[in-house]
Amino acid sequence: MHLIDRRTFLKISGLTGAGIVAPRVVFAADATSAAADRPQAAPWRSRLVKFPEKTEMILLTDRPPQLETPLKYFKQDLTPNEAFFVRWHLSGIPTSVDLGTFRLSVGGHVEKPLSLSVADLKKNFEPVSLVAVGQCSGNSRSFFQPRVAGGQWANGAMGCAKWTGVRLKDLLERAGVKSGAVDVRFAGLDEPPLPDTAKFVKSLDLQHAADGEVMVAYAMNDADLPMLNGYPLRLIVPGWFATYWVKSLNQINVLPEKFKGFWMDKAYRIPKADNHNESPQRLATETIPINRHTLRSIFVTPPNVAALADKPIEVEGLAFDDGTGVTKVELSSDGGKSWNETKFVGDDMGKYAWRRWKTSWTPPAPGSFTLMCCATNKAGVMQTTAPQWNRSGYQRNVIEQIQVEVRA
Amino acid sequence: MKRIALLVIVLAASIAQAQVKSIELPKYQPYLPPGPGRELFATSCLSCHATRYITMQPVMTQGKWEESVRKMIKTYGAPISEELVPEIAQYLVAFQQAPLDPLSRVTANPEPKISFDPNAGDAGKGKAVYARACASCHGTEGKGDGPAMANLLPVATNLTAGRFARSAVVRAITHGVPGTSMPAFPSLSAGDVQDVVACVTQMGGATEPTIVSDQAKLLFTQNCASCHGNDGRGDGFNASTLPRAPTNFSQREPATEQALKAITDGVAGTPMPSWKAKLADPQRKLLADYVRTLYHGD
Ligand code: HEC
Ligand code: HEC
Ligand code: HEC
Repeated sequence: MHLIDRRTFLKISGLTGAGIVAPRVVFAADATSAAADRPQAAPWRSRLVKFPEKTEMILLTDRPPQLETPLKYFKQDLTPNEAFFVRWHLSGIPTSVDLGTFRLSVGGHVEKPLSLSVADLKKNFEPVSLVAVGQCSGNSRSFFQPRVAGGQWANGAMGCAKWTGVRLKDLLERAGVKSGAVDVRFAGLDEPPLPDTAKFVKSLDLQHAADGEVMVAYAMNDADLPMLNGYPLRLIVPGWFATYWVKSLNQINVLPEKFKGFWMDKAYRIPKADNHNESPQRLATETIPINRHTLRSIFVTPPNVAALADKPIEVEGLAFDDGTGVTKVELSSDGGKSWNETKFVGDDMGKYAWRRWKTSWTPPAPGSFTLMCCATNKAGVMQTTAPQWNRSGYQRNVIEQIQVEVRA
Repeated sequence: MKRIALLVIVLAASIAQAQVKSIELPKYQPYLPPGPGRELFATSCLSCHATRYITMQPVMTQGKWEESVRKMIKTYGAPISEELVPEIAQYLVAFQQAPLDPLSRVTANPEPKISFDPNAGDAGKGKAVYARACASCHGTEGKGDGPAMANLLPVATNLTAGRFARSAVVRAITHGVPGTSMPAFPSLSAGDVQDVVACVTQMGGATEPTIVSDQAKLLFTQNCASCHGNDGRGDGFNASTLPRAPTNFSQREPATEQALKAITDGVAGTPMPSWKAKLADPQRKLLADYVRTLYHGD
């Protein structure tokens, strides 16, 4: 388990004394920093664009496309396909796919290499479905302080969808994995525009790949995947950051040794120690590939809310983790001194789905209030406001805050 | 029996058709606000991704930008030499102080309704049309040095350095060249178009033939085919994502000097990068000759 419990955390941060009263809020300065600099209000984010098969989304980049889901779509259990975020790395993305010639190859260290059409997958393997949150490793990157370069996402580089396809385990069994296999490598139709840029290739260790949950999906919310979300096939790695969810998947290779490649060895890495934290002055010397989601909850209520004293307002959001299971989400309106449990709303769609929560809050008086939301999961892990930073801006999951201006 | 077989084939064919899914990506003009180092940036940073990658970044110092450019070179293999890094970074600092990217969409004009014969034009009459409609950008002689180009990138094509298939010139006039300032000319009559095409094709000419070398072909496949396509028809897998289409060498034969200049310095304001840092002199010369062997004409 890479998440540490609260006590361990407090020991590491050396704030045991100060933190006892309100253990989640261990660093008061951080409480205001996110609110002070509002990257989500950056002028460049105001342009909504419509890409093929997608609705109006926030444009990060057009070539390759990176599109963020507007917050309003998170008021649903399932994110519509047309609003699901888009994130490609290399501009040579597929814009046309012919199912007549498209084949998924399963090869490498196997007895019987396979070459499968999408129809083969649908006809010859048992279909399975699962609801899971796909979240970009760099979701919420723009909130890191100090800021880091990269895709400047607010909270919309994620979505929750129902995925239908075949178990990777079944494909591997059909191909017959040879003894001595170690890793499985995945690549899709996207290509780098210039020859010295590494093709986007990811890997999982064999045991994980064959756990029966990792899936090759041909449907998203019971429809074809949009081209920009990885039509016709996408790898689904429940509970893991979406960097592993290879889009337009057409090559699966079983390897008798550890996979080596740029997108595993150089990119998408987090500090190994210090709860995956580091600082610009003291960068971690050892890093590991990013892996499971961390526990987090966000507000879906807009970040700048206006309210009237004594008039209750609805506050809502969502929470998820790596499949361990969120047990509660609490709200604080007094800087983390006291917390009130919120209500889960919508449906429980399984352990890899998110849970939406709602509560009503009555401002006691005019003034400026900060609301905070904090999730706890089955393993007893709880979010904190402990400063969190890493050079790539990955897996942000500190307690989120919104500002409410209350008038008389 | 035969009839059934035929029916099955027809059905299979129509199913196969239905099995192709395609999308057309919207494209946006690279944003190139004024600033020192603009041209260098415009030949170094447009090949792999859009300028929105710059637009969205938090404000960074010269030092941070230098780090970022070095990352492009070291980790992504951008063909840029080290000594250019400070100047590019200087531009990036200016870029972040410039007004916000207006995000202008690249649009292609629809097919024109008029019909004309591209082979039947009067070059003499075409000169007048050219002077009126084209010279402000392409220059009186067609050298691409007209006064209207002052701050625009890419600069207008030098029409004297090599040749174009007539159909390519017709296309440029009736469609414009998306991703550049070259407009379409819907107001020109069919006769005017015929004449100006004749005039433009006479400005340039064939260059000495060269011999295809295997080494050049390999270099082309490795470095150029992603955009220009394996046969140089401008249809590489990356082509459909680019704001300015890669040259289709089967319809455009640049003169050796022109080709060499493009390969060495890049074409500022388009995704065509400078290859100076990646390919040695003799390799670039081989390629300049090689692309000219791909010309077919009309
Ligand atoms: C050889 C291809 C290539 C060239 C040329 C190139 N880049 Fe990049 N650049 C990339 C790739 C790949 C990424 C990562 C894309 C992603 O993950 O979305 C990237 C990302 C970026 C980012 C986002 C921050 C980051 O570090 O990921 C910035 C800023 C950037 N490039 C600036 C530039 C500038 C400035 C130039 C010109 C000096 C340039 N790029 C030229 C390939 C290139
Ligand atoms: C407003 C400036 C402007 C005007 C006016 C203009 N052009 Fe262009 N032209 C350009 C630019 C810019 C390019 C593209 C250069 C590049 O991409 O490198 C171009 C490209 C071309 C090309 C090359 C197309 C290709 O496929 O590469 C031709 C041929 C051409 N112009 C002909 C004409 C003719 C004929 C006229 C007059 C009827 C004309 N242009 C008027 C700016 C102009
Ligand atoms: C990232 C895409 C891309 C790659 C890779 C690329 N080009 Fe280009 N190239 C372009 C584009 C776009 C143009 C059109 C520029 C223009 O004329 O406006 C172009 C133009 C050219 C021209 C100029 C033609 C003329 O009319 O003057 C030459 C020559 C050329 N490319 C050669 C090459 C060679 C050789 C390579 C490989 C070493 C290469 N290109 C790689 C995109 C690319």
